[in-house]
This record gives sequence, structure tokens and C-alpha cells, in this order.
Amino acid sequence: MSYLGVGTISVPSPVSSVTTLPGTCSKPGFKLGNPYLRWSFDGHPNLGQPMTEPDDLDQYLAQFPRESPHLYLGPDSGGYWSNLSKQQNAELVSLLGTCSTRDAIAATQPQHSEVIFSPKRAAALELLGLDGSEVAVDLGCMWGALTIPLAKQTARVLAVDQTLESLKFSEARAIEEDLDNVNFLRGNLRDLALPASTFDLAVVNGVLEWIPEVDPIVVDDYWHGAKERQGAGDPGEVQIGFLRKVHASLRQAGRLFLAIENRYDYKMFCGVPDPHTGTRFTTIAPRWLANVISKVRRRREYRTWIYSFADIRKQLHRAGFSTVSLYACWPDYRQPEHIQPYGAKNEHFRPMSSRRDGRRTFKATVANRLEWLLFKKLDIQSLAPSIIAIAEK
Amino acid sequence: MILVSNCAHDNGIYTYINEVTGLVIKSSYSPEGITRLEQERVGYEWYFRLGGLLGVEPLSMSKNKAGSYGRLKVRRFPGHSGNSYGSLSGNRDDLLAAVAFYSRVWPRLADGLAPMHGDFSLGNMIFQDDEIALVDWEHFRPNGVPWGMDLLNLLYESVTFSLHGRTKLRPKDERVFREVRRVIASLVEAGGDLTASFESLHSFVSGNRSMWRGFVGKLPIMNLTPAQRDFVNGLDGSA
Repeated sequence: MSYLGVGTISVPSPVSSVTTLPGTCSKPGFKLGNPYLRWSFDGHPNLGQPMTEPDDLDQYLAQFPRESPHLYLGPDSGGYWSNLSKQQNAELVSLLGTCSTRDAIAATQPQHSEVIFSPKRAAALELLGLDGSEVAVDLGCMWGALTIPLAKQTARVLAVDQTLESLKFSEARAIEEDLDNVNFLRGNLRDLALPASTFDLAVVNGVLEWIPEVDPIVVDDYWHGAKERQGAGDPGEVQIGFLRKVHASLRQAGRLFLAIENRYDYKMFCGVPDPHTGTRFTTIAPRWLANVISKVRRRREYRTWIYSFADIRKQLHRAGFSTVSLYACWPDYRQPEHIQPYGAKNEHFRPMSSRRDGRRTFKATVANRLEWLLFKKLDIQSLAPSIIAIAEK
Repeated sequence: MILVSNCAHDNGIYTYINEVTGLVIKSSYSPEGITRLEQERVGYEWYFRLGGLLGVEPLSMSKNKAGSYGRLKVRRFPGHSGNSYGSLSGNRDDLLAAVAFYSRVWPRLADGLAPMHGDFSLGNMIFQDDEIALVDWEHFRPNGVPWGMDLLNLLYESVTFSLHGRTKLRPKDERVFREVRRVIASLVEAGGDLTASFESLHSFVSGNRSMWRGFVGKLPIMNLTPAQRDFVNGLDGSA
């Protein structure tokens, strides 16, 4: 760093510049600008393959009735998954024509504002190093927390969800943001046929664990309520079936971005309830025992299977993916504060349980000490809260 | 790729370290964040030019067509960053090194004015082999700021963190304060109109809030309680 002591000012050379690159198209009626013109970030030569012809995706979508400019209706399976009840959702959707999505949430569901709109949600997408040419599919897009950022950074996005209200909300967000390279499709991820070899990127963010559940889910009720539910085969096999379908929908060297809680998150050993079912110890117990706990506490099978680092890698290989890169994620994958390659040096890790709201409660202090011990001192990354996997076809 | 910061202070910016390429990658989807990244690029450009390394060190900024996503890549400096949260006594050597560094390299423009880093804090300095590299240039101003304003921020930010919620400095911190302040005063008061006091820093920042793009309230020096402020003013008066 010899220059730090130099006081003279040298002649600048024009090395850094702002480059404007075609990332999103702006024509009405959803046609891409020039899909064959792959653009690159930072002047790196882009030697990728030619893009999927937009017609592939358009042809696929053409088989479905169109509900609104960007929204298509796949087969109605009666599926429903939302944090909101149908009535709450109806109220929310009815506001969309009259005010912005932010205002609609603020008026009806202010407690969800953070999880829907926080820019923190999209932090992990940067792991993909997107270059703007990709055709992406967001499977289980919900309120569009990743769909909207993805659309800004890729050529085109298809966002799929079984809950029509969520899609209408996300579509309103896309229109507010002037994004016309995103389409929405109502469909059940278990049953919907995806187009073959079409996408460069598939996003499955907090979705895989829900794939084995069939009946409608309102998250709060599912957490607290005890109710018999219809099963649909071995949960692990249902998930593998879904992952194989995703694999088939990817183009050569296409990638899957998968985010999911770690089965062995250290908090699960401390009796913190399973983030999906609200029951204790179900994630770390053997599946048969988790079933017993779930049947006693919730009168239903334990189906929202999540995995360890080693097992998620195995499952992805079983589904056909060739390479799997794993990342450990704190304090969770939704609003990560720290992500690092699984197994890499932990020099940048800092305990973060109290960071989110900044309050120094007793619980947060204990959690911070524990995180320091487990992850900084002992470096046991297999107990990290969340897993992000990037798997290549 | 390691995510080291996600929208710190709600700035909308993701900061990654790529250990393979040795780059820091900052990106954002928010208009505010993208503006800050562009500002930071300007700051780095100035800094690299100052050292004669513009064009040698990696530095690039790219955006998508709509301008709704931006990504800044810059070289990651080796070394260890200073501890801005530490006490004056604990940071004595780093503080004096930072002051010496500033007085050695920082250009004085006409009328005693100068460029400003804008967040000249030990946490934004990477120390290695008696050298200091400056990072986080998003509050950079190319001119029009009294020479030495950054030094005042360095000193009084350190005072703020040394107070650590109390209304008085510990004696050993107070000794270091007097020592560092004496050096800074001899530098800033030699050439310009600036006085080495908390109030001159505070009034400059208050009068130029727009330079911090709405993040003035996040600056540590703007968060002293009235009692702490009285104490610091008393120190300045007696130093």
C-alpha cells in the first residue's frame, strides 16, 4: 500500500465507469428487448449459451387462461398457503385497486410489512452473481419478496404460487415497480407441469418443507391448531419428486437456489418450537418420533420435513443435481445478517441474536453467548440456523 | 462469497466479501442505496487518484438498465480494521496513527478547504504494516469542507464511544483525549479557521445535513445526551 504515503496527484486513467446494461425490458405486452443480446457485468466476457427463446415460456403460458395482464391461471387445485386467512386476504386484495401495496399492507396487515418489503429479504440473491440474462422461475413466490428483486436483475421471471390472492398482490407490486418482465402463474407446485429445459435459475425459498402438505394452510392455524389432515405419500419422496421436476425444468448448467431451515439449528435443541409446526423437538427427533409428537400434539402426521446440511446435499444429488454448494446462514435465510460457505473459515462471524431489534434482553444475551461459543469458538457450522444451497443441473 | 452486512443502518446495501477474487461487492435494489454506491465510487476514485493507483486497483460500478439495481466492486484491503467502539485509551496508537496519516496525505485546497471522507472513523480504516487504507466512501465530498473536519469526527466519535453511556470520561481516557486533541488542534488551527472543538464539528454537521443524505442521526457524534455534551464542551474549554 505504498500509495498511501504519496501526496502527489497522478493523471487518472478511465478505468472505472458506470455501465448501463439492459436488464429489464420496457415494452408493453411483455416482449423482451433483445433476448439474444446477453449482457455482462463489469466487462467480463460472457460465454454463456444462447438464451431460452422467449417463445418457449410464452408458449407454455399460452395454454393457461389469462386473469390479468401478467397473471395466468393454472389448474385450480383448491390449494391455499398464506399467513392470512381467506377473509383477510380478500380484504387486502380489495384494497389493491385503490392504494399502493405498501399502504394496503399498512392498513390491513402492518405486522407483515417488514417480511414483505424489507430490502434485507433479497440479500442472498447476490450469491448467484446474476448477469441479467437469466430466465428465472420463483416457485412459491408468495408476496413477491424475491420475485421483485429477481425481476430487476434477470431478463425474465415466472413466479408460481397456489394462492391467487398472493399472486394478485405480487402482480400489483410488479406494476408499481414498472416491471414488465415478470409473469405470475397460479398452480400447485406438486401437480403443476413445468416446461422442460427452460430456466437458468429456479428459486425455492422457504418452500420445499411445505411441498408434502396438501390441505389449505393458514400459517397461524397450522402452528397452533390440532386438526386431522390428508396425507399424500412419504414426505421425503414427495419433496424429491418436486426437486426432480425442478431439475427437469432447468436448462443445461441451470441452477437451483434453495433456502430452508436447518433441521439441527442449535435453537431446536433448546426447545424452541419448530418454525413450521409450532411443536418442540420435532425437527431434531427421528422422523418416526416426530410423527408421534405431532400426532399427540397436533393430531396429524409430521410432514414439513427439513434437513441437515449433509442430508440436503444428498437429497439434491438424488434429485439429479450435479454440484451442490452449501452456505450457512444466520440468524435465518429470510433476513440474513451473515452468510458464509459451509465449512469456510468463520472469521467474519459475529453473534447476532440481539442484533435484529437491538434490545439487550436476558434471552438475547444468553443466545449471543451461546452463538459465540458454538460458532465463533467451537465453529460447529452444522448447527447454523439456516441453509442455502445452490445446486447446478 | 461471504455476506458481512445486510442493509446496515437501513441503507439498503448488501456487502459481500469474495475471498477468491479479493473483492468487496456491494449491491442494492433501493434508490437510496444505489445513490450511495455511486457516491462511494466517486470517493474511491478520488482516493485511488490521490495515491496514483486509479486504474491499478479494481473499482467498478454497474447498474441495470432501469437503474433499479446497482453493484459496486472494489478491491478488498488486507489487514485488520480499527475498533471504532473501543475506548480512547485502548485506541491511542491507532488514533495517533490515523491523525498522522491524514496530515501526511490529505490535500489542502484553496482557503483552507479540503475534500471530506465523511465517516472518518477507526472502523473504516484498515491497518497493515504501519499503513492505513480508508474504506466506506459513501459520504465523500470532493471539496468545500474545512481541512481537518474528518479529524474532529475521528476524535469526538471516539469520545462518544468512550463515554459508553456515562456522562464523564475515565481519567485514562481523558488523558488520551487531551493528547490527541493537542495534536489535532496544532494541525487544524495552524492553517484555517477551524477550531478543534466538539461544537465546531457539531455545528458543521448540523448545518450541512444533506451531505449525509438523511443519515445524520446515525452519526455517533450526533447522539450525545445534553449532559454528555456539556461534559465534552467542558473538556474542550479546559484542554
